[in-house]
Amino acid sequence: MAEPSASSISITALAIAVLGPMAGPYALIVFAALAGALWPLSTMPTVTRMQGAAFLLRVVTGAVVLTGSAAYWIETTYRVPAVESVALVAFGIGAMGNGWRPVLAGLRGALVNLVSRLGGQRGDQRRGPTQ
Amino acid sequence: MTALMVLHELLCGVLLWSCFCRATRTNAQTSPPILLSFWLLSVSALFATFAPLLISWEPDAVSLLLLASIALVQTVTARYWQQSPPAAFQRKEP
Repeated sequence: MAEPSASSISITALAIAVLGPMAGPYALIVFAALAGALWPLSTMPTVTRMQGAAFLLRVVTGAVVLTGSAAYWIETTYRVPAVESVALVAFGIGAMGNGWRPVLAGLRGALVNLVSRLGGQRGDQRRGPTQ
Repeated sequence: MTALMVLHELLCGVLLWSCFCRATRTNAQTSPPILLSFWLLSVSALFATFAPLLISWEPDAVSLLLLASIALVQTVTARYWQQSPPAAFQRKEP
């Protein structure tokens, strides 16, 4: 008699067949990012379900896009295998939630500052030395 | 994929939806133990959803019974969370 589970397909095999061999790592990223993002969603002022879903979608999409590069950077810089840091990085990105806005605003400010400073230096060089 | 697995994923979906709805109702004024409890419940439901894929875990009758019970509790008590968390779950104003 065949075992009851012999004819059933495991969900892992099904996911890999449908989504390819990266199904596992991406599932881990989505899981970790959602787990992280649920905390800022809980503490933000009351929102509608659509706003909450949009927030989760934005954070998870950001995590899916950024986690691979961030894990690769951690691997090359700190010699921590990307496979081991992926979940932590995705959780961190998720837990930041809307906290990315001040970080991005700070980066944009620094960039604008740098560009204006470089522009000022070129202007000084063109004018030449003043007496 | 077995019927147990399909039922497990459906129940996880119900539990996740109820947790998501409550997460949209809570805010910074909600009591921290309540926030932490519902966050842990959400993460557990998420892990249960992904466990068959991540660690090749398979549900059994006991886990399904527990999952169904928790989902039922969440569904039955949802009426107290229509607009905001119950007043007892909010921090008292000084």
